[in-house]
Amino acid sequence: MKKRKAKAPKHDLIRKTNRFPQFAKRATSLILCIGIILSFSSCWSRRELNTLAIVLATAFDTTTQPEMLQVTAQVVKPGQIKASSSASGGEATQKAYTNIKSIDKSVISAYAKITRMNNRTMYFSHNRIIILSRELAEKGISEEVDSFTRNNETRLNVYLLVSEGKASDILNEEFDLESIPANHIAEMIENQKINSETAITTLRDFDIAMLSDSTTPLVPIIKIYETDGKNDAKLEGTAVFKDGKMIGEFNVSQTRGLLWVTGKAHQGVETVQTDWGQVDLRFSHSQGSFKIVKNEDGSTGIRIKIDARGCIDSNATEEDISTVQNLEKLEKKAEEYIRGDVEDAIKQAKALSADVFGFGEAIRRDYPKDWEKMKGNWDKEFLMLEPEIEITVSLTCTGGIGKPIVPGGAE
Amino acid sequence: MRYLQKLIRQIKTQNGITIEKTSENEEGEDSQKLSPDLKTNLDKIKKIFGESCDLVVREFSFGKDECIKAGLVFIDGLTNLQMINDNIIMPLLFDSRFFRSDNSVSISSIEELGETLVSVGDLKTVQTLPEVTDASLSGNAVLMIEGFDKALDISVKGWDKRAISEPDTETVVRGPREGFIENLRTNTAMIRRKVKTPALKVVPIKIGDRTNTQVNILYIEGIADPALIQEIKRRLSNISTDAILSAGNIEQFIEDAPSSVFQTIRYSEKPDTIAGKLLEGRAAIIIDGTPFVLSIPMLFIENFQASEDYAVRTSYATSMRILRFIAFFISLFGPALYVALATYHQELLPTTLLVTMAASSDALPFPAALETGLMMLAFEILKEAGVRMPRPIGQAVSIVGALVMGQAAVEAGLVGAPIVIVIAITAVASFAIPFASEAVSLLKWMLLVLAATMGSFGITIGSLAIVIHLASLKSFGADYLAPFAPYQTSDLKDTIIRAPLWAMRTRPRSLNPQDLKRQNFNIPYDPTKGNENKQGEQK
Repeated sequence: MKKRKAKAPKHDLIRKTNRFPQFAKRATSLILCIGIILSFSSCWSRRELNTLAIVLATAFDTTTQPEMLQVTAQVVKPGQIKASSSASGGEATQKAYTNIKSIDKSVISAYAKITRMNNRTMYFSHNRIIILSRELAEKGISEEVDSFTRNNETRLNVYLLVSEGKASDILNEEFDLESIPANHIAEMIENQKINSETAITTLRDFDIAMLSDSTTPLVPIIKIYETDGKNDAKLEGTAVFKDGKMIGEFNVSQTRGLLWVTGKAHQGVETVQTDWGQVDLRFSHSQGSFKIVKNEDGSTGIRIKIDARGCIDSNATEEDISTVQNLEKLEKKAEEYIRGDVEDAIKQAKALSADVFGFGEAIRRDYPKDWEKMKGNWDKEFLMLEPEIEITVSLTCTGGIGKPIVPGGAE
Repeated sequence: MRYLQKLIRQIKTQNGITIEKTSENEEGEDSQKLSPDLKTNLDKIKKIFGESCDLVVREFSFGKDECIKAGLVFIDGLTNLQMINDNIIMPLLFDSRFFRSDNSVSISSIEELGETLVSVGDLKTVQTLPEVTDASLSGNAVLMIEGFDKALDISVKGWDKRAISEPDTETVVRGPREGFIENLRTNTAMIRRKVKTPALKVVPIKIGDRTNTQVNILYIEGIADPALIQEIKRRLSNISTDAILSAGNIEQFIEDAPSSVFQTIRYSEKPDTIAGKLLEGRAAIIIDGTPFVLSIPMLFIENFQASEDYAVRTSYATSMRILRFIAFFISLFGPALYVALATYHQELLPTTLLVTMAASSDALPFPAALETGLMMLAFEILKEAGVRMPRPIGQAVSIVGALVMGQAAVEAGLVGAPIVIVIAITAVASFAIPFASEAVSLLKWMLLVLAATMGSFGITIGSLAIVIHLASLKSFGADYLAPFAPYQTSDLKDTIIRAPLWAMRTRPRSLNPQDLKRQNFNIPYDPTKGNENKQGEQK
């Protein structure tokens, strides 16, 4: 009994001693495999930060030669950013960016040319804006849009802009609040939400509109203007594209009307002229939308519904507008203003014969059979549409004070 | 071949000594037994110890007319001399003259001495020489009387030991501060003081052919899984080594996954932690000579549990748990993520951050991966130096490290400032999870290499490998990733969240406790309304 007991562990011990070489073999082969895999892949597609030319903005211009295209890429100079942050100020530092220009037949060949004169690889993932000159936009921008959509490095959330004048000039502007113009412009565009006067367009929006049968893409217009001897850029109006070409523009109030209809206007200021004087209204949490309705005779109609909510932001009159009657009057007045903007926008759209609102897409979604019939001559059908406009304005507060600030108003 | 087998059998039987000592000795030679002749015995003992000078052999005579010869054997330094004088020698030399009314000269048995004269609590009778040497080596005095083939093993242990103090490894703000010391009995006493039930079993076992280290297995009968205790006993008795010098030695011999970077046995220096573990259904192993007590089995989640969690209130304890998890992920993935983002996925960074990072790495000589690796290496060296250096020099090391390696390296343009920040955050985060930091400090290198070669794809592969490995681990039959995998809803109350104590009505099911029920409370419990279920009332 005892003997047998002693025997059993003996084999165990022998097996244990033999197990080590096997284990070592397996471990070595595993390590070798991993080593081979790692060294074969050899840091595939690795790019160090200091080998990249980070492009923050791109501008496209026409040139004197008709076939040629000028590409301007705004590239960060990282060393300069470091210097400017550590410099104690006052000292004139160099610009934190450089604009690389190149002229060639196409976008890609122009970039290829840039690569030939640069030590760093152009890196487009952080390209925030694309500016197209009006001249180029009117000639057609399909190629630019295609190459930026096709490339897997570029992003679809890049903002598109059309510039009055040369696009590269805008990238040359110096801005006081931001050291890199591209950042300034991109943040400026993002900031427009509070005004609802700019049709903010990303490459993705543009592509979607472009791919649609009916909708026409929109791109905000950027302009350079001079104040106090200093140039500045501002967003004003919207360029309307059809078949990849710019065919016209919307002014600021038309753009506002357009945004009300497409539901992109949520906030904004409306200055209203009343019987007593001027009152500013600030809208927030507002909502606009349109619906396709079937008329009794079977034709399709559009019903636009706008629900604007707001507050009184300033009151230049001596009238106490916090009373219910006066608020109602103001609401009515504001409604007129909004209706004016919207009607103006529709008129302009019809004048350009451009479905900027996406009515056609909505019909296609809701009544696909009707759309099949209308598709062929949508341009004409669009002109015949007479949208009903239904606007409700509710002023929910009068701001921090009720009565106007006038002498004796405290009583 | 036959010789080899014989040798192996010999080794095997030697290993068997520790656990089946008495049975071994039964079949051993007669020379191991004590002889009735006192002189022979003492000579043999002297021979065994040889020239060791700390062995004390005190020969004396006592009884009426000093007719009984006796020898007292003990080791100086391990024993309490005062006790030997007052409780052994004094009664024998003086009181023995009067201890019998009749005039009989001798005593009938050696046990009689213990019954009547020696005033010491812990007495045993021993019969063999190894028992005598063992007893004297563990701090007992052995009293041998002429004419008897037995001896009295009198416990007079008394050696210098460290005072109980607050442990450095697990400091707490709230909760008990005492920590284990190097003395086995003190340690078991500390646990007994916390768990006052006879169900707390202390099973002795001796390990180490030469060190003869006392090891005690502690468990609570009725809670701990008997299979677990069996397994622990089996693994401990399988240990065949000559020396056990610390808890870490035992740990390496019995752990389930010796080649894993994750520890599958938890250790603690605090009696309250160990008592808590015992009450959850775990077993503890106390090793003489180490203030660290092992608790078995260990689950992965224990890396994130601290004794403080149960001393503070639920909301804060839970937030600390979550914080530790975050720290774990930061310390594991921090450098790898930085390298992956900086060399492969620049598009994932916000533009402003990318530009800032590009600015700081503008004129750097090394690739980001190498740079990160170098900084990590530097930090590991600093950490090691800080631990190994004598304390006053250790401070100098940290100053040199912080200033030279951090600031100067950035200013000299050798490394980028973001890397220093990443390494610093990683380091600080790894200190927040002291138990997992060993594994993390190795795994982050693996992840760094994967990130440097394959970017986030590599990190994904690495994390998958870690998760698969964790899921494959077991600790004494318990699944390491429990209660997440296998999923056990009722055990989740002590994981990422630390539920209120009254909500922890059952012990962790993953430990397979015999008695699942811990307490009886309404959930949610409202102390103002009282408890309908009444604690202690069995259902």
